[in-house]
Amino acid sequence: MSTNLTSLVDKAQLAADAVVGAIGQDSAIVISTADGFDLAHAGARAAEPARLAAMMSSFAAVGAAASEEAAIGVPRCLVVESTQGRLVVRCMQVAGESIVTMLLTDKSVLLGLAWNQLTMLERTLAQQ
Amino acid sequence: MSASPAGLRLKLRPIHLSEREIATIDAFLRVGRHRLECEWSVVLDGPCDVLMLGRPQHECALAEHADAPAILPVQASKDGQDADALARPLQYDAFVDALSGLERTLSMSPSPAASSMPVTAEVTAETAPAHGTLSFGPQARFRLRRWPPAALLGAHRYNIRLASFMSGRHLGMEELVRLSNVDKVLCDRFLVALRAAAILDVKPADTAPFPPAARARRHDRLVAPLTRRARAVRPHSRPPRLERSAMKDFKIVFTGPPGAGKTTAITTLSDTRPVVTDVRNTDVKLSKDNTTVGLDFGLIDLGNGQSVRLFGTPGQPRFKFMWRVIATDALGLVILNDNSLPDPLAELAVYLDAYKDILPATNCVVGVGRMAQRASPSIDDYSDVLSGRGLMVPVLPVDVRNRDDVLMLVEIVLAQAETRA
Repeated sequence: MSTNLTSLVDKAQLAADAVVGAIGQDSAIVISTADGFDLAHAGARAAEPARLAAMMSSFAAVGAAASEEAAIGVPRCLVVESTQGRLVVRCMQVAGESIVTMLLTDKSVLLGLAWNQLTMLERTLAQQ
Repeated sequence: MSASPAGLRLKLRPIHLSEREIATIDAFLRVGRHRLECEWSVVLDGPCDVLMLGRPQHECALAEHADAPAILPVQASKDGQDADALARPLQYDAFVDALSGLERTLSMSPSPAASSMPVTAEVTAETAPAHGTLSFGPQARFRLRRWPPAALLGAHRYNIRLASFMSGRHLGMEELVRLSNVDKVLCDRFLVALRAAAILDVKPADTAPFPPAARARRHDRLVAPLTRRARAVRPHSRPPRLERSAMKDFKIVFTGPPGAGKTTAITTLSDTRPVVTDVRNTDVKLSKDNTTVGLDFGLIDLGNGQSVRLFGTPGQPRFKFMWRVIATDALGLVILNDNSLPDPLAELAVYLDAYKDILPATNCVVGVGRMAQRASPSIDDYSDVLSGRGLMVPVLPVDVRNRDDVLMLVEIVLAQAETRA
């Protein structure tokens, strides 16, 4: 892991805790590298961070390939809307590193709230 | 498999060509010398590396072409059925291009023109049949008991092709010749060598489970179109055709450890710009800049509405969930391995375990890369591991940067599909 990523770990953990604090314990967040290693995670919802990190990196990469194919630029957000919950994936650049963040919520959480929290998390991570 | 042909001396023997055509060939060779890597010469008799046949092969005596590793047919342009044939009148560019293509193939095979080396390492003067005489009854059917040792295959592409067809089920001689497009005498020689090595199961005709003609042949005749298309089309040279209604797709999945060359192999073969999902690698244990995390995708258009879709999996076990997702409904599996890894056979075992429930019924081939960096374990060691698991899986050395090498892997999968369907 590069120095940039190592220095991000603590900051990512604080930011992850803050998001779960704002949305509720019935959510989960995993912050990972673009190649599928989890840097930080929070939340009581049953989910294995390492596996989710790998899956989300694949998901984000396929999304990026599809965006490129469709000539719509670089993907910012991907959403899996399921019957009992939602996965919101945000692709971000932090300190020159590609980061994939996944927020897992139930259906009661508004999509706009999830997006807002992920945007705030990106700003937090980007602050020096 | 990707030996450089530079410096080889190759002999071209024209048969059933006019004196004027032979003079033209001579002139083409002189003028085109700078475009060819080998030293070519024309011989009018004796052993040769390439036979140029001025008449259809079936009109020529077997003895005329049985020993030549390669045949270059010449036909009137109006015939047009054989995509590999040169058209009359001979054209300079087409001729030199054809020889250039043959150089790479021939550089992988011992030259009968240069020595008296037999077709396979195991065939001796005592076991080899005389020309025109076959060693097995016309009704006999053949199947491999295990993948042949590398010494027996001898790096001959036609031996590899024959073995691939016989790895799926019992085939009669006529069917083997028809499917493989390899001369009957060469088939017979190879079968003799396989029998001598005790890895050939020979059955008389009356034990056939059901006549081959009655079999459902969904994947019939895939290898020949693939070979024609692959020779004709260079990578990424044209946009994909999108006649979806008529198109019949086959999916082949490339899997194996990170760094084995799955992305490179698909990029090498794809007729269209490949889809690649590589990101920067942050794993210090993996000495590469980028790594695939989603999938790779490429396409080979076989023509006639058929295409082969090439999918690559991410290599790291943390992406195991993608391995099965991508392999769903695949026609076959290509497992690429990297022989320079600390324990290549353990790496292979990871993928054999991951796909163990589908492997017995799946068309599969193992390609081993970087054997030049590390020769051990050998190809035969890989075969032993696969046989030990009860799997009849072809194993070949491969350089994923070499289109012909990767094409051979796909060809083997399609050959298995043709016989297993």
